[in-house]
Amino acid sequence: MKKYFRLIAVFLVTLSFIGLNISHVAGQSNALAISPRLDLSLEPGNSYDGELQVSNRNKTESLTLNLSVVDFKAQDETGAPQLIKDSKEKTAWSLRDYIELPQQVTIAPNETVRVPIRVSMPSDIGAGSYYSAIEYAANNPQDEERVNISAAGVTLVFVTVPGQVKQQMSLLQFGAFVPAKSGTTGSFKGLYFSDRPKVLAYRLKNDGNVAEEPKATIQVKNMSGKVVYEIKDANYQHQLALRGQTRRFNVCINPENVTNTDAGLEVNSVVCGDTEKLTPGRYTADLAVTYGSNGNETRQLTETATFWYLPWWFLGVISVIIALIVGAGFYVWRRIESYRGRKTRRR
Amino acid sequence: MSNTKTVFRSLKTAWPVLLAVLVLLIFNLTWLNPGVLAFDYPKLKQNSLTIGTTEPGATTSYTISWRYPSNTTIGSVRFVICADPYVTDTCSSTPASDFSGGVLSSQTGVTGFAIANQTTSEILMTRPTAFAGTMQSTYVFDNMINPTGVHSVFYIQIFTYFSDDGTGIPSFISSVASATTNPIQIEAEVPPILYFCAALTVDDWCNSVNGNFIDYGSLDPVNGHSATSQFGVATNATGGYIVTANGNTMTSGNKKIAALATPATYQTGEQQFGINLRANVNPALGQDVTGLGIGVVTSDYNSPDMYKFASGDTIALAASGSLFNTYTVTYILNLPVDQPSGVYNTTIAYICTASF
Repeated sequence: MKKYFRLIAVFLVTLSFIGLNISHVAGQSNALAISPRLDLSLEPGNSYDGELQVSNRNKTESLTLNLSVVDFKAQDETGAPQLIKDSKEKTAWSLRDYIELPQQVTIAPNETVRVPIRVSMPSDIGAGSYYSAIEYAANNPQDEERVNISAAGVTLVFVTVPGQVKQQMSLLQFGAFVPAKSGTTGSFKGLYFSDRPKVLAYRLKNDGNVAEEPKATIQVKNMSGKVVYEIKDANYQHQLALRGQTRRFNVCINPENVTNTDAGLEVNSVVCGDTEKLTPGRYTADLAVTYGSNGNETRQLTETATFWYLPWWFLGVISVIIALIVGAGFYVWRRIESYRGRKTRRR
Repeated sequence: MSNTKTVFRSLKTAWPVLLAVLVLLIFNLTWLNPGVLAFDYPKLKQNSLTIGTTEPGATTSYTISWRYPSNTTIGSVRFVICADPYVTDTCSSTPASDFSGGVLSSQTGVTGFAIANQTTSEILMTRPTAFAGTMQSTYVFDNMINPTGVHSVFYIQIFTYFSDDGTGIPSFISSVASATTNPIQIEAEVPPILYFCAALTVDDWCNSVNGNFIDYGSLDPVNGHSATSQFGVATNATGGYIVTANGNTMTSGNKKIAALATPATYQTGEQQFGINLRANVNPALGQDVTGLGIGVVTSDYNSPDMYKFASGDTIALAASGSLFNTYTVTYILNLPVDQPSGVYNTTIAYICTASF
């Protein structure tokens, strides 16, 4: 009997040990890699069946993700999307009714899964742009007296329904621009006293029903009309102006392509190089924006902006020159007056 | 002597004028010499181009339309395909199109034109020089072959002339644009990749992430609480990314500890819940952004010892593709001595999105 009691005790202790270990070992990955964007062109009544690739970057813990389709809009004049999560009403460009995908997916450590997605556009839908976001939210257990941390990635889905769309873009502002360090704001500026201008910006208002990717070119010319900088692609990041958005497009006057590689990922980015060709003086920047494609009318917006580059050293030199001229003139005047005085005394 | 006197008298009178002229010459001010404006030439209005199909190399129709800004006299119009829209500059490159077989199948508005000359990249249509009003004019060319190449933007430069043979100075100049793309069928682009992780600690490229909650234990109104977590991001998407922080402040049922709506310093004994992404002194916690990427912290969360929390705020971003960056979030939690008792918790969800 003692032997059986001993066995039972060992069994119970073993069970409790296992239970404790489970509660300590049970964790949740918050590390994922996803496709950030999906672009489709679908005729009314047609469907797309594809896959979204999702990876669990954690090598030891599984990743359980809750998937949901969420509307979004432009947050501000940049390309930052604002997810609309708490509203039951759909946006005019919502894809929530047209996207089918699993509600949850679990990914083993260091594994990749392909999540099936189906996008079906109704036969009576009008031409234009439709977009929503797929949110992958880590399904973490929540507990008391804690700040729980969770990660979520988002794939932006854009669907273009071809046909005659309403295109209406207006050019609101164009000129030399100084971005804030945060990158989200900044200010237009026409006079530079210290650093040379490095960035131009133009603001477009989209009142159409299609997300526009404008094509733009800019020429910067000096006072004698010579082109000092030419930007053949002033939307090199293929940025969009969403429906109803006023979008600001920042453009480097001297864009420099930079490629960086690390951990097998190659990243191509554009940085604003020095604008050494901008010597002191007045400059004009000529912008030509073209939008509309895929069988729709293409339209062009043009604008000219001016800016001055007058560094302090240049103003100092000019001041000295003016002072010398004034001094010389004063000297001549004094000589004249002196001559007249001598003449009067002789009389 | 009289000559010297004359010279001196003249200088005395004229020196202010000479001075002004010298200054203006030096500055080359705009009101004397405005320089050459790029768009000095008269432009057409409401100009547009519609092509039947955008498939590269396809034979299709081109419909070009515009309106003259004022009544004029026109004898000829030249269309030139070009890779850039600056009509006053020599075309830098000519897309591989073929207009040599184009046929002017219809015309409305200012009419009476016929094709006089055409090449693979140019069409000249002429008529006897005559009055042209401001109505919208439309010209349809059939049997035009699109430029080859996928997603190739091209421009049709339009030059109108008084002469009936395309010679002389153009009276109006404009350009219209279109692009060849993949066939408009079901198509999808496989986008780049976005790496993202959030935990108490993360290492490079999210290879290892540890811990997903901060346990404050019993809340202390005298000393307050602070802690850190991290998140990491990398992407090769050209538009870069943004990261937002989402969630409520610490709550217990209908009781809550107020979040800092604007950046504020650490103050014990007051209701405070806030975060920042910098290395701090008060409390001595946190770390600046690390890594090879170009990510930055947004302004409200980028001041040491200043904390804020507003759900949905963008707290970090990269303006273009970026290698991996690790951001350290410092949390502060303070409460007054009379804070109602309860079990306070929250979930902060960090959401990473590519920019469009």
